[in-house]
Amino acid sequence: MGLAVEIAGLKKSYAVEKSFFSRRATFQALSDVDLQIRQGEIFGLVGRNGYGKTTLIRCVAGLLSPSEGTIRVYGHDTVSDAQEVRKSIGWVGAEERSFYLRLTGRQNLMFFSRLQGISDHLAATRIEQLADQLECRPLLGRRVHELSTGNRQRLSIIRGLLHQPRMLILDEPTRSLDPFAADDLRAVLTSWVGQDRTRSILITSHLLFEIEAMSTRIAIMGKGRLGASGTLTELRQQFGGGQSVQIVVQGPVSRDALSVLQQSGIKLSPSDPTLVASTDTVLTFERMPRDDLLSKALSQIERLGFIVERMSVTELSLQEMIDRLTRDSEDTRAISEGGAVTEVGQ
Amino acid sequence: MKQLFHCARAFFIRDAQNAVSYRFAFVYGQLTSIARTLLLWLPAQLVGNNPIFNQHGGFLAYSVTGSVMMGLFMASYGGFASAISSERGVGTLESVFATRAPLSGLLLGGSAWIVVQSLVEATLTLAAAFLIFGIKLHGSLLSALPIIILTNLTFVAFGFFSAAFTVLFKRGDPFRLVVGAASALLGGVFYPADVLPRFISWIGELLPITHGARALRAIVLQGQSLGLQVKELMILAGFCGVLFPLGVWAFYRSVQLAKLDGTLYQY
Repeated sequence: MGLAVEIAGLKKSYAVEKSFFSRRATFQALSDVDLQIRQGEIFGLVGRNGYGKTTLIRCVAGLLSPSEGTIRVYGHDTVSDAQEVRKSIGWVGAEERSFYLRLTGRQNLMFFSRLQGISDHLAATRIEQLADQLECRPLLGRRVHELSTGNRQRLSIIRGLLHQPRMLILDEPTRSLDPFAADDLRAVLTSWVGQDRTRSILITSHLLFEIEAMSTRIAIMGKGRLGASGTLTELRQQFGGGQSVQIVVQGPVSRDALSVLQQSGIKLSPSDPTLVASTDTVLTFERMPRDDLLSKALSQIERLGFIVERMSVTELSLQEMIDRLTRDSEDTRAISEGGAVTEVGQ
Repeated sequence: MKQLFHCARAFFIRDAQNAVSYRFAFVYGQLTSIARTLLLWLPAQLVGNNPIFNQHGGFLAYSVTGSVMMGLFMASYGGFASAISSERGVGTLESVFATRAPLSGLLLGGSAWIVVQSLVEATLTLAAAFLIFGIKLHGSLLSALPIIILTNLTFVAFGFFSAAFTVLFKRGDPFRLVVGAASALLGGVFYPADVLPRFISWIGELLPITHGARALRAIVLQGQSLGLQVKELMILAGFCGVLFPLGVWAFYRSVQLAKLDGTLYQY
């Protein structure tokens, strides 16, 4: 399968105004990013605010130029061959006010179609079709300033798809949609990629369940660098591959019983279990896939005479992975408060 | 070329739709073009039959043609920069730059409505002067059209510099003040530059508006043929030939720098 995006040695820095008279400082937003997105993939990009997600996707869309390194989209360089790149890309930004408020939805979409070189007749047909798919045809005749943020977001998605790009880049696309509309959109996007194996999607979102559910592969950004990337399973392996096991037993568990469990190699976390509704006890511990800790725990609990009320085994979540990556960063605080600012020659 | 046409058409339709959506402002704008003549008619009564305006049919005829040129200058010079600034403020600039439209298309398209609108306003001003205030036109506006278009293109080229400045620095355009003030004071807009001291009047010859206004008056007010204006046409074409590519380059470069700097979409 071919590559949709190839990023090599990407660095992006911004000029920072330190004072009225000086702007001789740079903010390093991205450092040494290497990434490949395959055709046919939905690639999710997650990370905390200010970690460079939007900068990265803007660079891929050719809206920002890299300070160093190269980005190729379907083989075209985003700087030297920017127009070809923009033909391949449908951009759905996070900017709420990306439409002309005095014009209707249809007038706006026709304008952007014309800029994309689509004939009026074809554009009108596509707009109607896409509006039907996103169930928003009545919005087309209304002025944009009359529309809610969520409905503007639908128009933005139609605009991104109008010129039939090979790749969609979406910055928090379901941010302002109600849960039902968000579900519909996710279905539309997944089906859009599925219709043609050369298509791909690059999506950022803070809704981690959305990224987990939709993405073929995921990258986690950590302080301007790619912290980790891969499929969800690969990511879990990179983070140790642990599973969280919760066993709720009826009644309180004595300290003696707890020490028996711990002697079997089960490391409870917390070591002093909590009571649920003052009667049941929750035993939580981590296990690795395919180890025997779960069966050991269950047999010990049975031997000790406790009755299992319910049990759950959950995989390491994206949020936990982001959290670990963040905690591992030595200068997390510097990033969240505006990133590393480097002085350059005065 | 086809792509440029698509762009120009897209922007023109968008700007027309936007302008018409502000119905009062749209009508008011056209009325202002007519009222401009009234504002010049009043001082014309004070100036009376000053001989320096005689060959042009009096002060009113002279100043109306001058103000038409100044109006074109103001619209074409500042219009594109204002459009960029407004797109930034509204938040649409990023979406426009995300399309496959080439930068040259954005330049041409972004200026299309402004140029046409300023030409319509110029025509309305001249028509009001002719129909309401009775200035005598000895030549047709159609014969002066190449002069008007060429002068306007030069102003648009100046506008690209202003737009480049806006892209890089966002606000405050010293060129507008310098070129605008010089054009109004030394370009023979309301009085012939000859009345100024020699050490300063020659600067007017370096401004496109001087040549545009001179040729317009010669054709429209004195009834000379376009053929007699070859010198002014050549000078204007020279301005255009130098300023247009330089202006386009300046705009391209400013966008490149702003993309690198990360400030292109900042307001």
